[in-house]
Amino acid sequence: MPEQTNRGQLFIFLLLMLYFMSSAPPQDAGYPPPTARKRIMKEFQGELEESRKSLAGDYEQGYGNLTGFRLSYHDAILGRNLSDWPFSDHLNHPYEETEEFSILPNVVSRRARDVWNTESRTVELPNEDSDTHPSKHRSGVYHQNVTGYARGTFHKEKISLVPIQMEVPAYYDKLREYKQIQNEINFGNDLGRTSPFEDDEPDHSDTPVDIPVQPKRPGNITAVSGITKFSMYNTKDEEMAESAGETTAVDLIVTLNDNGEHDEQQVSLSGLYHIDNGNLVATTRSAKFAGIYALPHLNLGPGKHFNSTRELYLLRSNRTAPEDITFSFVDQLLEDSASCEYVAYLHFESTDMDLKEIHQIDDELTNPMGRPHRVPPKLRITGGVLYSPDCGIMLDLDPAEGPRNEVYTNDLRRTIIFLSFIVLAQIILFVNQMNVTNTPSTLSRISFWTLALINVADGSFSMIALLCSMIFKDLYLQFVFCAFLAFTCCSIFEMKYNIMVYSAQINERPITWRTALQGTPLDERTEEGNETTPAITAPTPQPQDDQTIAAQLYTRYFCTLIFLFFGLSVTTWPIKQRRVFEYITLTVFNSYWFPQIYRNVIRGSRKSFTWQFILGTSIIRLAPIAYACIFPNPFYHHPDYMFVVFLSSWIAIQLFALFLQEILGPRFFLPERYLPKTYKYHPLLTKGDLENGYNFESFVDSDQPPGSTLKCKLDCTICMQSLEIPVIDNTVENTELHESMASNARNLMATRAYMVTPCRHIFHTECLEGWMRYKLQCPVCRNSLPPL
Amino acid sequence: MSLKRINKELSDLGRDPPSQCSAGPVGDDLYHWQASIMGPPDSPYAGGVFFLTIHFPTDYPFKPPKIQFQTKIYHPNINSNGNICLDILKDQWSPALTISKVLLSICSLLTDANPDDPLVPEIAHVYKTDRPKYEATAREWTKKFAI
Repeated sequence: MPEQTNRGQLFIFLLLMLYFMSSAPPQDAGYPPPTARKRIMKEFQGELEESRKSLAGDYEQGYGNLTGFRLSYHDAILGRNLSDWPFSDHLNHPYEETEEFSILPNVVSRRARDVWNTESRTVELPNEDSDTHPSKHRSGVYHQNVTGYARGTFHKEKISLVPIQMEVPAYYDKLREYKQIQNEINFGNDLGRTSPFEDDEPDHSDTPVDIPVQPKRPGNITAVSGITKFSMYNTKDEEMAESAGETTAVDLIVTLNDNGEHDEQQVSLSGLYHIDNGNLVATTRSAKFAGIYALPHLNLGPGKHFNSTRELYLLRSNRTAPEDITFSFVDQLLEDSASCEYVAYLHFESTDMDLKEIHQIDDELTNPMGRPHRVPPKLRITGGVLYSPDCGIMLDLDPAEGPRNEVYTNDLRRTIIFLSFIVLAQIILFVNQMNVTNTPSTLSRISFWTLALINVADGSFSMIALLCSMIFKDLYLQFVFCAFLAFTCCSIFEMKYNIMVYSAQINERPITWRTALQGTPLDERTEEGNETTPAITAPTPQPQDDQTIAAQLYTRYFCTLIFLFFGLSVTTWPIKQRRVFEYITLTVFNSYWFPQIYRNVIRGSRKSFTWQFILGTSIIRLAPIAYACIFPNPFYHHPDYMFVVFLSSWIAIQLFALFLQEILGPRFFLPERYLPKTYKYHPLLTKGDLENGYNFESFVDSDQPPGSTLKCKLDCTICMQSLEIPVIDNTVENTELHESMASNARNLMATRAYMVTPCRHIFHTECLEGWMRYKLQCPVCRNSLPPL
Repeated sequence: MSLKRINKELSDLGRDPPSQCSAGPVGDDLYHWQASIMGPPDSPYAGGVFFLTIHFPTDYPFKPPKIQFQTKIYHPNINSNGNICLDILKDQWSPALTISKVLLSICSLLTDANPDDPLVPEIAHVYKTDRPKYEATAREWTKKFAI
């Protein structure tokens, strides 16, 4: 029986699934067996103790036995080997900030000192006291908290630097072997060459750095110039407050892109920020480079900052006992050792506020209570240097600028609320529009594709807002609200309108283009002889609503998903392609009036949407794009005035065309011969016409002499009252065919009082127009009527 | 406009009444009429008199009148509430139709039912499968309710 075999198949499938799931790698796959792990951890703890000892040492003692710092820059130039450490000429010499003892080449330390001294002389040459002079340029204090973002550029000078050899300590070997084996098992042998664990590079002292080394290491920045994005996270340590509270810990993430955005590198550093002079120094950390323990020395000199840094980091590291370190932490250090190590020096420009004002602002930003304060100053990085000791790269960081974290969040929040109001306005416009057109006749003038285009745009927007709600966790509520509003707008209101328009227009399908414009030509009917069936009647509405609506929904849903997929992946494309995509998409999404113009031409109708809707929708949809392209905005969209001008004129063209259609007629721009003539509902009939087949009841001679206008009396079948129409008598030969002006005018006015259908039935104008709001069908013979 | 039209129809009905049907307003309200149909002689409803109510909408003649049988009748297109399933009373309405024409259509519906679009599927089923039984039941009901 089919059902049982299906069950059997399902059962087997479930079994297979369970088997695969249970054979998934367990938690500590990729880790060597526990005995090896214990040994590695023991060695690591030993190394950690050593590092902490170095940290606690004095300035003269230098780095001590610190991984990654055993070779100074000078040693690297000389080509000394790591295994020969310690070197005799360093042993009894006190540490100095020159490239003999430091890993920083002189050019880098000079540049770092220049960066740090931008505003004041805080870091002197060695052997001088470090003294804090008041800042020269501004009169205020430095930022007390640099949590925030900044954007700028960088460039690389043409200086060749020797990479310093750094090695992962030997006790990691077991772990590396294990990982390599795992890799080979998982991915096959061809990955052996590009495995990230081959970081024992041959000495490059003889090869200039400009020649790229194969294979490219992560973090190796080859671009000569590009864009930098900084993200700082500054924490204040409460325990430090008493002793040396001027130094705070900071985590810095630097993202570097080359100008074409083909290559993006991200460097994660941690270090410290000195509140008293606005200087920041940070390093990366990995198995081969214990950067953070050298931070005191990286302050470029002994003195106050050396001491405060040492204290801060001793405090932080002593919080974690060596036994509490997990294996995954050690494993992560090994993974990070595949990338280039970096040391960063930045200087934050001082503000023009005094301490009290800054504290006020900081308090208000962290605990918003509505206290008034001055505008929070932007974070301005006057300059910086990013140096990689083991890859031999030095990057000059140009001035960068950005908002504080809370300020950025506030800006974003305001933007979201603004967008929510726009969506709300759109909903209101739609409701008003739907109330105006709720009969099939008026609905048939609306273009379905105009609505569909607006609908898809709103649907995409709601999806994007939903996605942003997951990225910007601080603003989750606002984004979700905006997404919800947009989703309601598109799936309830817009979709309902779409369905209404669709079901009203579904009856039009079998009607040909020609008939829709002219009505059934009479000749066709008479040719058919005795077949009195009307040529084309309105077909009965097919009971397909569920199906068609479901089909519509599915198409829309999947189209949105596909578009969203492209839209999301576009964020990873390089700049040029992204801009092209953005221009195309925005232009297409702002061409939603063209289908309506086309529909007006086809149907010969002048009015479709209310002008409130047309103008309102166009403006509120253009406003956010214009804003993002003109003013600085939290999305960092580049200013693009040309595009705004282009888009505005694109929409203006569409609106103007709609306006002209309403005034001059829907086909004003097409020459007459291309389209069949629209039907004239108010013709002046002649006596010959009447005798040819109009049904008339009686002839009432007017009081004018024969040869002029007669009057004909009929019954309007809709209101069943009598109807008088003027009839021109053209059977009598008359030299004076042109009547006097008065009677001409009278005739013209009289023609507006009645309407004649193509099937030659005559009604009052109000009667037939009233009926045509419901159905475009002749009441007497059910012939289809051309639209008004 | 609806009042004028209803008045006109009333006077036309008075002047030229159709055979087998009659209609007129109930009391003073011109929008509420009562009509009666004699069972067509060539149908199982012969001999019966069926009463109907007619409600005119305010936008008559643009909307069809609502017509309901008050007398119980055994017919595939008329249910126990008296609702009539007739296309000209729904989407095929035209303003050129008058009450007299509609009543005539109902008469012809009585003679020739439309079992393919029934309001009462059971009766339609009987109509299609066992015509004599249908006619007998119809006659029985006519005798019971419409005489």
